[in-house]
Amino acid sequence: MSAIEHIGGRGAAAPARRLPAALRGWGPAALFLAPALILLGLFKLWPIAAAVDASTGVFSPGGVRVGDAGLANYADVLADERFRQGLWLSLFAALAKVPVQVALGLGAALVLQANSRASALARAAMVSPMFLGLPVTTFLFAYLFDLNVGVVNAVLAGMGLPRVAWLTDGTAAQLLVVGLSVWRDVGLTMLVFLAGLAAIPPQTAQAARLDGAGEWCVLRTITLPLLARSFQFAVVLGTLASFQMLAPVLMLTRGGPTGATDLASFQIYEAAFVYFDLGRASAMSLVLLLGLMAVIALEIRWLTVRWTYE
Amino acid sequence: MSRALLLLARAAAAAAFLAPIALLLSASFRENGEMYRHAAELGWRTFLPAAPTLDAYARVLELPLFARQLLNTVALGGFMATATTLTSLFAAYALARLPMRGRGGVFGLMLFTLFVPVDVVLPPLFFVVQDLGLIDDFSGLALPFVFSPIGVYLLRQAIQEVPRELDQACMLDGGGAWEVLRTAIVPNVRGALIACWLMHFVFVWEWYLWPLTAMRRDDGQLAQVAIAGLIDPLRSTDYALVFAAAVLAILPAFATFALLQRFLTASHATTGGK
Amino acid sequence: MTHRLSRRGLLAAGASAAALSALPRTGFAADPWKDVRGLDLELLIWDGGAFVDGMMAAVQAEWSAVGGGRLSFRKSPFGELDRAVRSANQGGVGPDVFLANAPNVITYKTLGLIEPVTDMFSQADLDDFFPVVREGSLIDGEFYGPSTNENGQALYYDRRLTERHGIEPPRSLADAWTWAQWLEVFQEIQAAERARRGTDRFWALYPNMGNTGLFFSGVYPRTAGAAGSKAWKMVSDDGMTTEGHLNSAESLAGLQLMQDIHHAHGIAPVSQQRDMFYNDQVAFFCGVPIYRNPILEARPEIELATAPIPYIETPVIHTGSFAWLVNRETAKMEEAKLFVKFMGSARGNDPIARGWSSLPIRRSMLADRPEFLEGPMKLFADATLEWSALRPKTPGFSELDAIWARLEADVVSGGEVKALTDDAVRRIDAQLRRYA
Repeated sequence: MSAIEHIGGRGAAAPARRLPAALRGWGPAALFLAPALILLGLFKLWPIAAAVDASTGVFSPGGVRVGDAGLANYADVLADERFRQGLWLSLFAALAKVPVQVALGLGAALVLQANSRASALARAAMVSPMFLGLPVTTFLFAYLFDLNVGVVNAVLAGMGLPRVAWLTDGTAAQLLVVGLSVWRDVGLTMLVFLAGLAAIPPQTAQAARLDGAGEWCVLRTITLPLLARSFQFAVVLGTLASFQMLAPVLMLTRGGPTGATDLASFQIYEAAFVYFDLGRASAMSLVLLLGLMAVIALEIRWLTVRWTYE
Repeated sequence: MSRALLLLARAAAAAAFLAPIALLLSASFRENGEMYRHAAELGWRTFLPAAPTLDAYARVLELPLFARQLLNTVALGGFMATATTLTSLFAAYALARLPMRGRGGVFGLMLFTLFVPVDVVLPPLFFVVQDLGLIDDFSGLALPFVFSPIGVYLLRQAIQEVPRELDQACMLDGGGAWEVLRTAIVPNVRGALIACWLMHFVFVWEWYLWPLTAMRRDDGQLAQVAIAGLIDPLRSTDYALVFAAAVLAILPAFATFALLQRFLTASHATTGGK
Repeated sequence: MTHRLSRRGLLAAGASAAALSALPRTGFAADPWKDVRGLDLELLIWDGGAFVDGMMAAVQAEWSAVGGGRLSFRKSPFGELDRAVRSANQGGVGPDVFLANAPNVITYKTLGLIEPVTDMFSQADLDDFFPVVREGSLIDGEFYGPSTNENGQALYYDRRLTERHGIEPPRSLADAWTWAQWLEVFQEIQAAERARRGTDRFWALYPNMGNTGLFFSGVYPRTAGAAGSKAWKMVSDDGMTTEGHLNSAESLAGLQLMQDIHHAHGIAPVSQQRDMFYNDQVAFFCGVPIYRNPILEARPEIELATAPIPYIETPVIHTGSFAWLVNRETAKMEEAKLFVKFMGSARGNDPIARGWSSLPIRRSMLADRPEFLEGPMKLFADATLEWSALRPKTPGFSELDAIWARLEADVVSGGEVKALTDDAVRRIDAQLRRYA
């Protein structure tokens, strides 16, 4: 068949598959969105609505709703100094984690984007922390970072440096929690940047190089701007993770020592799962949610996409 | 010169990230009694077992349900990664390309659900799944999380990078929405698709709270949750067993990642524009 | 309250109980299990891996032998056990029987989750139980279920080490030392051993923080007060407030001592790793009977000896255990109650107590456990009988324990004791008020 006949043939068959004109605007979109919307409504929106409803209730220690509190839970929560402190700690955790994680993830993606076996192995290595489950990771870190019999301190002491009380000194514990979180999530950030890098047509960079631009210049003026969306994504994900960071605190420090790692997310977990106070926990979550949205809105503003392919 | 530096950078990255896992691996070959014995002073025994033994691995294999639980994790991971990628692809395509009112609002709503901490959503979610009769069932574990705002975000962003000329070319050939997706979009977002698949595959390995709540049968449980059960606060923990089980649990994920990750690199990810 | 019993008194009571149970009873069924119908029962238990599975298999064998049916298990990690019990009936009837953390019996009774089993136990039965077994489950005149075992605590050490330095620690409760006396000994031994080994990686005491350790569930504030004082009680009599108790002056002194042990005196390592005694890095190790075998396995050459634990003003030990309880919503009420009765009998309790290497729940069963009647393990039995006190009986025990664990960790890390304790008291009382 000649090319023209081929095209003509397809064109002739197409109208039978087209939807009626009235639905053409909505039809395809609705169909494609349907699975996602159903799951979204049933498993995400409905429980969130239930949580909002719970935030106006009083709960018995048995986990049963026994009364209404209106907005009293919110007033309580906002007046609670410990929770306000927890919110600040979450913000500081984000400020510590996000830049480090994004920088490391970007660096790793840039260095390891080649197709060689060595790069492939290194990429797999960087993602492997994610494969360790939360309980095992924290169990492992408790083993490694013990003050007296942990490997890390053995190395420090062997090098003549003082031992660090990773789990019982405030600042060290904060470093450990953020460090653990970055270690686990950098692989994900790297994946995001790899996807972004892969979408950049190689011609653009080649053209620049042909014009005589050096590697660093290419990076700065071509690659990074084209990665703007990936930056956005990585920053948002990292911020989300900081505000919802739970596993390292839950299993290593439980909010200690003396409140140094008492993140808002951990307090929410305690309220929901240790004290069975769903009303208070829901209220705390919504407050945290608002704070998180504010922070992310600021970040996105700051990172608005400026460059496109055109 | 820069080649050697790059090599060094790669090696350093791998070493720093692997160090805890390497120590995990090394610890899995120790006997329990030896676990902390040599970490008070620095010596080669601090890092390597003096008398390496496969005992812990033998004990893991003796655990009646471990192999089954690992299989559960792999199967669930594969299912969820695929289902999530497909759902996200369709939704992202609709949001990025197809005309409809309120696109931005729908997308914003999806993202919003990401911001709510999971702890408060778990109890009501449990009841929803229970009402559907899906507790203790794999579909009950999987369905609530098949929809992933992260997946939609990632794929929508990738689709937006694909030039619209490709769409138009396909439509000129007489293609409808489905053809555009299949021939113009998908080949050009392969990198993002694979990234999405891998990301969600790995998420299953990280899961703890939800499987703990929604799957109460031991034989239906996931590997990581089961391993957490081996960590016993009341008596002496069998450390080597936990470490060995963790190593075995990583292997399938590591292997899958190693196999699929070459699709993430530039030469495979796009077919390029014309 | 504690019962001060002498060894002789105890054996006499046990003998009479055994004698009583041997007498034929008219009007009382010769076979106490004749009403067992063989129904299947679901139990909610702690997930302890092969250790617990083995015990439960033995229990199943004994239960089947008296006509019981198949036992199925819903397992929960220890940290989730409380939540599992509280939410057991949400969305359909849950398991028939709970194996719950013993101090929570009053919690579940207050929340209306459990059914009393008073009619299953005669007065002779109740008297045969050790006091802590009975009192934890006796609430408002009703008995809710027996516990699984009793533990007791003592300091394990290597006699060769103490002999080397000419120290003779006490061997019986009567000679027990106070903290003032022990402190000197700890400091002396630590300095001497460190000099001898040429390393500072050696400590005198491993308090074994957390579960069943030296400070278990708030023992230290309690031992600092005189018997019956507010500090000793830790929680008010109505179980609703810790203000004035946990943060009383003596209590604070006890907490300060906990901190000083680790920092000012420096005789205990700030570490969570229990293996330090197995690795010969500490001289004295506070533990429960179940550590005996792992110790002998790790250190075959050791000459294992035990000493009573140090106390400040009043010797107090918190014992740890689980309790068998009947779910109030169960459809198989009679069978479930009979099962709980069975687990309170010698036949049902024996596999579990032996599995835990610890004391059984009935005095009459002691005669079958010679290891607790003499030798170094005898101290655990004595400590359980004479020094043990129920953990604070308050419906909000889980919340109290969770906040206590934080306080313990923060105090040991070196925070300011009074501020931390006042804050903890405030948070505990806020939680306890929810049960009012």
